[in-house]
Amino acid sequence: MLKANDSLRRTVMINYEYLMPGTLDEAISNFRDHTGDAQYIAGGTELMHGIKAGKRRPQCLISLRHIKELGQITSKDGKLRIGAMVTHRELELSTSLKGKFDGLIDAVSNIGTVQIRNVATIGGNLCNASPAADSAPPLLVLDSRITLTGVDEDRTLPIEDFFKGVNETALTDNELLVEIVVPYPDEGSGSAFMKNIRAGADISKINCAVFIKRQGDICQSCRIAFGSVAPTPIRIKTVEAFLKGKKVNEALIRSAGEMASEEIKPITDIRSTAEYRRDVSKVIFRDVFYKAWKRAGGESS
Amino acid sequence: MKKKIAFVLNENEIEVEVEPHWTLLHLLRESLELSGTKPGCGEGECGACTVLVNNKAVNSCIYPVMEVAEATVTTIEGMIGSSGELHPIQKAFVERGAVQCGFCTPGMIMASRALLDENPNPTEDEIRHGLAGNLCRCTGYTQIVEAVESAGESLRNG
Repeated sequence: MLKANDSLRRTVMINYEYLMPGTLDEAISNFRDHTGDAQYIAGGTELMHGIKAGKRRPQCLISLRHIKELGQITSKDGKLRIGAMVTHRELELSTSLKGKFDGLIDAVSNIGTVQIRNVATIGGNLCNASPAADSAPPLLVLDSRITLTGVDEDRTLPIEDFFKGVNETALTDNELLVEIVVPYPDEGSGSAFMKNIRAGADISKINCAVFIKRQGDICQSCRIAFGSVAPTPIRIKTVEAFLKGKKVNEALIRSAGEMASEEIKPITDIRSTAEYRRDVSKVIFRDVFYKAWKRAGGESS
Repeated sequence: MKKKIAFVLNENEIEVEVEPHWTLLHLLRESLELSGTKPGCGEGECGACTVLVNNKAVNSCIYPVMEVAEATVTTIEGMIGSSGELHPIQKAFVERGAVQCGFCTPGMIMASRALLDENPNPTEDEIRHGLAGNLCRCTGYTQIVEAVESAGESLRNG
């Protein structure tokens, strides 16, 4: 008897409709017409895999790919605006980000593989809300806000309020993430991101982003975020407060790393153990801090 | 219910009937009988199914077929020139011993094509990063990297 086992699941496909609306209004109206059995599809690298693995069974997919305003990177009112459907590869190669949002570039350049990055979107990455999502820590430390739209009014919220749990976000059933808004950082600041993985093109065992505002050898202020150490990507505000206004030296950063490793709540899972994550958090924090520090000082790294 | 889509495949305009739930890989292999593109993991991890859509390398096993409407698709079958000559990348793979069982090869070549189109003179690190989405169980990658370097040189020298 045939079992729905691994070897079959990657080739057996279910039936579904595939709609390609050209505007947001059309997409939302399509979604409303198919209540309950329709799902939005962004790049699809996560969703298609889920369908083939039998985890998702939509009757209708509504593609967001042809909605022009969702695919733009623009500048407005001193803020960078990234449409939800911008691919990681587009961000990786974008001249609008280089030198200003380096932590974000560090992250999106190393999500999956080129084939994935050409298709997978930043909006999709955030809405999937894996605790290991690489785009999250840099967006957290860059003080981003996200715009949601749906059947009711638009709303924006700080990205910190968007992640609710493992694969859970603040999106209600009728909402779509449309844009990520990132304020341009001040002069004398820098950001960086690193991930710890087993081999190339892997999901993070632990990742970390830091944003620093620097004056000489003083850390005027900083923001720190970790992923894969809690149900959601998190800011480490105790360490941020600890470092604020202090003169940076090795002993200080080592203490900060120790503090961070005590703040995080990692678990043991298929990718790593809680002990390893705690241990490595000190090292990765230090490495990311110094990378952001150099950039804040105007040195390229 | 089948839908009609039109796109450019290996420089030829075609119109085909597809089921909306098909992947691009399914269309290529099962419907168009272009078996050069290989199914590997089915999950978008191994790269054996790599093709170019609008000149970008993608995993066809998780690419919704409806999204190639009005697009340009290039498969391994499209790498051979109109005169029947192997593309310089294909030649380099053969000459450098980068083909053992050959299963990863079509995907490797398409990914290499995308890499060299964007970056005609890549460093070894850039080659390895660009091909990180293509797994090979036979070669250990050394000859593959050398083939891409050699192909890059051929293409730069015309």
